[in-house]
Amino acid sequence: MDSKFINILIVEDNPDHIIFTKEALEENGVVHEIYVVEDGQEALDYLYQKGKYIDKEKSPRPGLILLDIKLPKVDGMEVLRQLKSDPDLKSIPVILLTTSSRDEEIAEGYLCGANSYVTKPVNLDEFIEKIRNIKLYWVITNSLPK
Amino acid sequence: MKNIALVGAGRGGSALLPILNRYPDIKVLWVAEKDSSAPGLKIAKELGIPITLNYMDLLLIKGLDMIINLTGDPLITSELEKENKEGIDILGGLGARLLWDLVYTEKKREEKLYKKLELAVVKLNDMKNYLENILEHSADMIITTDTDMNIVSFNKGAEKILGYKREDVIGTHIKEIWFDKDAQRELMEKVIKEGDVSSYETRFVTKGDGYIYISLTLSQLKDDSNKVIGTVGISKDITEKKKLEKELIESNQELENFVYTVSHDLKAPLRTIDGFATILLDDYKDKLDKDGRHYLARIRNAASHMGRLIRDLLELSRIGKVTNPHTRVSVLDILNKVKEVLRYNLEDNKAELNIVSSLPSIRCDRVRMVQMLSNLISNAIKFVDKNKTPKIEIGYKDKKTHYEFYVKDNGIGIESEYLSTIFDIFHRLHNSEEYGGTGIGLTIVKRIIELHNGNIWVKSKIGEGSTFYFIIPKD
Repeated sequence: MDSKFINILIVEDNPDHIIFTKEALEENGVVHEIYVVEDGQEALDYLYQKGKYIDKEKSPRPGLILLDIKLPKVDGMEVLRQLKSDPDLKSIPVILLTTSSRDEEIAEGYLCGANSYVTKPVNLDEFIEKIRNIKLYWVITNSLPK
Repeated sequence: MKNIALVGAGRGGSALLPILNRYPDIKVLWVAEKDSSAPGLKIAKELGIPITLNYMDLLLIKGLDMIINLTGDPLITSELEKENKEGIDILGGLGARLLWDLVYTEKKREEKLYKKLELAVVKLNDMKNYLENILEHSADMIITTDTDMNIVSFNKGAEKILGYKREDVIGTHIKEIWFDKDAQRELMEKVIKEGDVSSYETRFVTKGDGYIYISLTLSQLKDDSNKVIGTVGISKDITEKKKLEKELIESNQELENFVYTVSHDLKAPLRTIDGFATILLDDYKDKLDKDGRHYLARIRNAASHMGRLIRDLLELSRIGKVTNPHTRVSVLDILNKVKEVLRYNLEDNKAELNIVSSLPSIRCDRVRMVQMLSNLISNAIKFVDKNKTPKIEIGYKDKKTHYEFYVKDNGIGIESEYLSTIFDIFHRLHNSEEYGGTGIGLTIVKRIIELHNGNIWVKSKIGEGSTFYFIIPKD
């Protein structure tokens, strides 16, 4: 079970949605260590362990990233691009979270190296279901790099 | 060879002289005339024929075969006959008269013909001027070239549209004023080899090095023997149209971005509403009474309805914008996919779907066609009397140029006054508690059919069901 316990980084600017995403991740499963940042710049700082995230103990490298596309300062797609072009970080699976299901956006997401794509539904139950599936695949089925 | 002499160079003589002169085996040797103002004398002089005042001198000419008396005076004829020692034929009286008449009518006929010819030439010139006028003053740009692509003519329309004076461009190569040079070479070679090209959109250089968009129809120019001698191009200035097209594309893009942003921003608070309502219902249900839970459930219903509205609106805004390539697909394949999509809906409602055997293939955007039929069929399942099971029949008629499909149901039917408006956006005939929906489904259906150059309409009777007909053109 130990190998299945991972750190998850949520990059999301809407405080309500942070609550729902946490709720979904903690749904009757393994309790993960969840870290939250609220804009694209913070996400990059966290991942590169800069500024207030310099303490590697307090801000450990995540095993999975849930990344909202629409973010203040640096948008999610740019975060993804930088992340996937960095040899140290590119192996971390990234799940894009978005409100739209625009084909162009999905295509661009995959092109930038996203590992999966979740359209956030209005209905919380549906969202929990989707996150459960993601968790099942990326945390339990897949063995992730530590 | 006959050698002839004439007596009299009046009207008869002047008519006869040019005619006789045309025959190579007749030679007029002399003309006799007393009146120095006779019109035939001038002609005789021009033809180099000697003239004498005394007709009796003619009898002295060597080698003369015939004397024709054109004066009409019988005394002259008898005087000549009396002194005729060499056996010269003397033609006078009735014979000369006949000849005179013959020549005179011939001349008249010739004059008439000539007049006719003159008239024809004038008419032809008029016609030529008329056509030239049309070409010259046409507001369209008309330019002709030779086969080397050098400009041969350049009308007023061209001067006005491009800004050049014709004398500045005639003789120069067409590429000098053609903005898209590659298109020029390709197009003109094609026209000279293969024939006409119509409504080709390209750009020409205007005076001052700008450019304009034109719609060009280019044809071969041929001579009488059907040999290609150049090209004629007639063009319209479509710069304004192009500008509008560009604006339309931009404003469509803007609108799509707007709808996208709005739907994103509308969905975020909705998610909050539904999310907390859900958490309240799950985690605080013991603290709420029955009414409280009911109200929360209603909040969740409203939120998910608005979620569907936003989703459908977004979908509608994307039809036509995001299109898949049209391929040949069997309608049966499309319906099988629809059955897969609606599987639970069909099963839960015990709906009966009867599809006629042997459906045709159509050229279409498969994904949109599946979406369109899913919408129609799920409507047919939904709008059914509560104590009936839905029965849906799908078939078609082969019309010459198109297929006419129908989707027939045993539903509640549509009142006749609403038949024409049910395809309008947000048009709903029932409140959402009776039959849910966003009022966008049929608008999406119509939009998809129109994108396939088709048409859709409905026939219905209250209590007996509705039949939706739609046509899709064959290729």
